[in-house]
Amino acid sequence: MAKILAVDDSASMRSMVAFTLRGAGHDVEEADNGQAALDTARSTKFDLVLADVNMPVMDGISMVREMRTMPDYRGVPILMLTTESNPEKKMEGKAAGATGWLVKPFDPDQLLATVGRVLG
Amino acid sequence: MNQPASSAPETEAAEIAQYLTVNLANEEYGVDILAVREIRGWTPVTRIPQTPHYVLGVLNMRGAIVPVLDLRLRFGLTREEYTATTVTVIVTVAGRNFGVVVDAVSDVVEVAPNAIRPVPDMGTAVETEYLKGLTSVGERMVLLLDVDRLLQPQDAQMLEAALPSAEEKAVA
Amino acid sequence: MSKVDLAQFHKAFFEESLDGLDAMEAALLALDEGSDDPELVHTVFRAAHSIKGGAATFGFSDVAAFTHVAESLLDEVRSGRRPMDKAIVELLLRSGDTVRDMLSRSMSGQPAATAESQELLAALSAMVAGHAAVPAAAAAKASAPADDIEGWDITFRPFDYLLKTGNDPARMFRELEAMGPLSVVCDAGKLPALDAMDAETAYLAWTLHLAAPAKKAAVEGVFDWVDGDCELSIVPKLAVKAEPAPAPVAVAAPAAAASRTTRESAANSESSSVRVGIEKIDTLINLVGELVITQSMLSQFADGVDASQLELLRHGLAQLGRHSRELQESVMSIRMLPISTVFNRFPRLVRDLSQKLDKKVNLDMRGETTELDKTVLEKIGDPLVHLVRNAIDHGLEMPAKRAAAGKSETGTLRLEAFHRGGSIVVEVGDDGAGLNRDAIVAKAVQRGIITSGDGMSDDAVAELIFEAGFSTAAATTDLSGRGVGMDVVRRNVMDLGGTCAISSVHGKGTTFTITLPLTLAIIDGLTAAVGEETYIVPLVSIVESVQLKTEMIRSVAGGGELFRFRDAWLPVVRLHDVFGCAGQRRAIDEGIVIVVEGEGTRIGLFVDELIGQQQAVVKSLEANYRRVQGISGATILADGSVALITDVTGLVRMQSRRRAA
Repeated sequence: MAKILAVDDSASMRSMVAFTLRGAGHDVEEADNGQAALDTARSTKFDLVLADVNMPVMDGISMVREMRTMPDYRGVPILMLTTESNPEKKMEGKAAGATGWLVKPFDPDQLLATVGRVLG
Repeated sequence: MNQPASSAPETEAAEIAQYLTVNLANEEYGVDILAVREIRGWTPVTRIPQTPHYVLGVLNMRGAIVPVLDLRLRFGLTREEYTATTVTVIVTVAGRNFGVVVDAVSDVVEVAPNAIRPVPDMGTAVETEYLKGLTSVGERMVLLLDVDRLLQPQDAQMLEAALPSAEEKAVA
Repeated sequence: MSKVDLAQFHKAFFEESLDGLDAMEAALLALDEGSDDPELVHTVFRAAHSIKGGAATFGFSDVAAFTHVAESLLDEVRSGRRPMDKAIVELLLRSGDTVRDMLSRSMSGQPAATAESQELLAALSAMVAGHAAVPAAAAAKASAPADDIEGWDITFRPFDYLLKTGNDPARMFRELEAMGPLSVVCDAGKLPALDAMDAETAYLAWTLHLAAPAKKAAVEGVFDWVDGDCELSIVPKLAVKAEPAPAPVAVAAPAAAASRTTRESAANSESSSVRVGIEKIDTLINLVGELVITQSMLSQFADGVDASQLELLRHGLAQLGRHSRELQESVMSIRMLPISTVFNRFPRLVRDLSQKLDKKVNLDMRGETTELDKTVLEKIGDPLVHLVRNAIDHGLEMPAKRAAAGKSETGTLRLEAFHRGGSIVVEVGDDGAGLNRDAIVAKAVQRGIITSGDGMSDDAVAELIFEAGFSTAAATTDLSGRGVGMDVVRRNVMDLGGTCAISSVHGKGTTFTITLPLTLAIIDGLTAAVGEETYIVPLVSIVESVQLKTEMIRSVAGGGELFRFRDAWLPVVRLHDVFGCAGQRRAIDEGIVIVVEGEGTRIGLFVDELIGQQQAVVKSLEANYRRVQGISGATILADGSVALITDVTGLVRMQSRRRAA
């Protein structure tokens, strides 16, 4: 199954995402901000990254921009976890190199469907 | 088993309890209706060895094995015969079910807490430790049973504690 | 689909939200004191944003709605559209208090919103300029009537950087294919020469036709993420309204059916394994048990009926019996797991132990795929670990000693599981020194278990190690003597309805044989009448049933009776007496003796007569009552009455206790 990095400063959201994906057989690592995610991504190659937008230390959009400069992550799908209230964040994320997005709030089924969509 | 009298003021409704009254040796006893699971006509049970004489045995309640005690024997009276009115009241106490054999079921009565009086030392054969109190319903006196204690103190707990140690000694 | 219970994340959500509110309050207070650090506003925004996201995700819609408005206000401040002022700080401080209150109400299961929160929400909303969300707009646009649409023509020409966004055209095509038959034509016109090619650049373009009346929103949704990264045109192909009206319907229908089939097969592959709670399985097992009882009850009933249609009834009952048995077997199998789940721990354990003790051990495991009831498996692990430790610690000798005895320096520890009759046998055997008879006898005498070993058979001596507190280790190593003796091993096995026996040959090794029931839920039993009562004796414990003549009985002091069985004298245990059954005491030749074995000891159970053999669904007496000596449980007979199941091991112990007294 896929190696997935879940990035969110909210522990509850992160554990919901991680729990759901692990339940589907994926290997999930967690990071609580963009910088921590980059550090983790440097030592392990992930097949998919899911990142919140608003996070302390380093936000999700900066993280995507940074990650796309890493040779290992040029073509790796990165999904932004955005919210309805900020449609402009979708475009901002795309401009930074995000593959797509998943709009919060989402439930475990929607999460699995979207991840399934990306991983094929 | 809802609380009675929904039209009554809330505080009162919450405290009034319903009791199923049963007959035993010309006395009337009340069993908290919330503890009553079902009432079934008397049927013979399967005796179990090494139990107090008032535990008649076990019966099959929809696949579960339920012990049955005879309230007459429990109170030190004798049981002459089982008749057409003899019933087994199945009660649930602390998640366990057991049957209580009485002469007959009689009525359902409502009892307000302030109508319950302590049990005086009187001539009944009943040991007062199995009673919560007594109350009057019209002319009748109803003795309220503390069902929690009927099967508990001497049997379940003490025997359970005694059994393993007896075996321990045997092995050593 | 997934069965994730979101409630498990509620506590974490409440805790982090309270932390966020504290941070929000600290930042607001700093702003109130005149700080203009932009990070403070970000902190407040993030707190509101996180709480909103979590609340919406975990189903606290009132909290989500409230924080949504607060977040909108903060967003205006953050983006510079509105200056932060004392009034906003004040409003946000009150909002923080309100959210805290709403969270604690939610936590205790009360409705989160209050009159106060509604009032504050109105004040916040009033402050947010031009607060008019249009979330429904996109959805409205998508709902074009699909009635006349037969399919879609799509041209898709990615910009060269598309692959670097992590989007994969093949993946998008698969999504389209899930909606219906898809034809793809590739335009490779822009493909450069091989040496000029960059693997991460998109050169290809595609023309696609989806032959299914899919919704526009669904088709567009596939390209949602690449909007702006490609040239894209999605054109509906309308059904030609030909004169014979039914024609387009006939064309459209198979396409729709095909698309449904594709989706269904996708769903099927996801549900190939299901995780089910053990209590649900137990309920199912109970119900199937009842079904089996009903079936056997009907069969008995049929035996007494002599109607003309009896043959038909018999046939139907036979079928019902077969089906219930099969159903029962397949339900029971859900609980079965291979014993490898227990054996798996031994390679590591053996390696560590042998290194520690400087012994050479070869672990030989067999029959790991043998399946056992989950409950039995969970409880057999510890006894096996103890036996394995014991074998390495006390059984196998040091390499030098083995060599001196003419054996290979490497000892063999055999762990084997196999079926025997209706039971599972697990053996732990070693090729070590075997039991030291003299040492055991000396120890047993010292412990006061026996007065002398004279006249005791080797087997009887070996049995002594199962006595409580017995240990033969000459020196106490740190591996043994953990407060667990062989008596505990035997007791654990017995609690599972099994037996534990030992055989040992001096100089050759020792083998422990554990016999376990396949399952704890159902046993095969012999029904026996005792007075007016019926008892069930588990078949697994029965050696043989014999009819005795009065002259074959030897009476011993104290009223005991013995009879000759094969090479041994066995005590007669009259179930009438043990269980206090009513009815006259019978002479020995009026009844039958069932020779049973428990803990390696045989006794003869005297009953009135054997009624027959049957499967018994084991019910607990303890669930509503308590343990009863000599009784392992109860079952329900075909007539609905209850019969007790005898605990053979318990009866053996009661007998030996009586003899000792």
